[in-house]
Amino acid sequence: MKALLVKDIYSIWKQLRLMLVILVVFAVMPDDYMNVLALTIAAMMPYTAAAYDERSRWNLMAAMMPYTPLDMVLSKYVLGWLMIGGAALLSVLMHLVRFLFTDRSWDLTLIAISILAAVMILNIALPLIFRFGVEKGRLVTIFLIALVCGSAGSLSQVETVAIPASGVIILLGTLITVPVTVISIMISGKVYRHSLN
Amino acid sequence: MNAISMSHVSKSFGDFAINDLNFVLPEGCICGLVGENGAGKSTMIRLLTGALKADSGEIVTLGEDVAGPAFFDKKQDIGVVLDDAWFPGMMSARQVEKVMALTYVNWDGRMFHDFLERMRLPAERLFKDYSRGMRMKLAIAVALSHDPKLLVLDEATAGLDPMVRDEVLEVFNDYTRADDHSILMSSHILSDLEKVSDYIAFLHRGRLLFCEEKDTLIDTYGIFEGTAEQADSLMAGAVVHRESSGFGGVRALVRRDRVPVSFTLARPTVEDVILNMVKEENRR
Repeated sequence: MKALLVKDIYSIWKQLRLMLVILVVFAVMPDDYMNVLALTIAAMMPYTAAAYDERSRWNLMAAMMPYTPLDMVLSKYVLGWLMIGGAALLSVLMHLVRFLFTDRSWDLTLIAISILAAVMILNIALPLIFRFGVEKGRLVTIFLIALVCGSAGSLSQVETVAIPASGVIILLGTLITVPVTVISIMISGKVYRHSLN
Repeated sequence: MNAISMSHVSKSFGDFAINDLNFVLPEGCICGLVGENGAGKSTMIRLLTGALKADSGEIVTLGEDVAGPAFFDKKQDIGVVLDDAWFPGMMSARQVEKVMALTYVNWDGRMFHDFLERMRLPAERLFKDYSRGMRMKLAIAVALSHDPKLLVLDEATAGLDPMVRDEVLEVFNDYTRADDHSILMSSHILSDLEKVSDYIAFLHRGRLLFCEEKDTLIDTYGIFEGTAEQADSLMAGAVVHRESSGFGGVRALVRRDRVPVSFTLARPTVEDVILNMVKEENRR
């Protein structure tokens, strides 16, 4: 799987550099809800890698190489988690900088919720990409991104954004996201193995 | 041991099917796989490398059943070059090497670099900026650089200039000097197959019409050129396919053992044999 991860990172390297610039710009913006968009973009990176794979028909060749079906599937999830984790880390660092040098409060609730939302986007998008390919899977992915970012944008317009018991929301979100992730990986694996038939 | 053994293999895709395919590639040999576009060559290659599951039959590659769990390790010993599948376009040869070094246990970086130099491939240029010939050369370099026991080549010499093609065929010939190295090579360039193959397998509409030693194939058939009356006088089953050559003349592919010794027959090429067989099959 390490080989496949390295391949994907090489494939999307240009986009990664651009994403880094976008993340920094979003992170310094006063509106915290830009973090949601930043992590959502990070969750799209496996989609970009899959698009390059599809264009070159890499999967046809990879099926003849010593990669297991689990390697082929899990590598995209791991890539997504790494991207989300990296974007989250950058957001946290920028929060820290703002906290230390401005009068902004230290509240990582939105970043935590954004991580869970980004992982859920991955959980829904990847099985669709494995099943229908990048072009068709993209339509659903775009809808999901619009839904998440639109919701975040709408919430940001509400003056009082007190989220009661945010810790409970994060805990509940985690308890939902983890099993959904496992189910998503299982579905993707089944879909990929079926494609070999 | 046979490098590849396919027994009663069938695979259906609805409007196309491979039916009851029986094929053997002896270890240490080169087999040229020939067939029209859509005959099933790529499907056959996918089946014997475990990239596609057969509906029925048994496929044993390098001594392992491709449907079994142990075949996964055998993929380390198979080098693949495909006509229509590549590395992602945003990678360079140097990056491909790093990925392949993580993929194959027996990866030989020095051999890979030697191939890059020999084939004059720029290590830093992105794959998407390679010409078709350069892509093929890189794929061949990768396939040969992890000590494979079996090379599976799908149109590997397509797009290469004649000098490089000759050099690559020489590399393939050298590769099979080891007793346990085998090659299955599909190609439309029949002259290439005639140069290097020990066996020729002909696939037509999902059926393997024959798999013969190349020399036996050429010795079995002959090209008859004469009058239509002479052609008509030949015994039943002698003529594989005949065509008018103008002015009442006939050109036909015939079986030597069914033609009187008084008839002068020209030695056919593999291309002559294959083309005439295809035409006859299409005529039926």
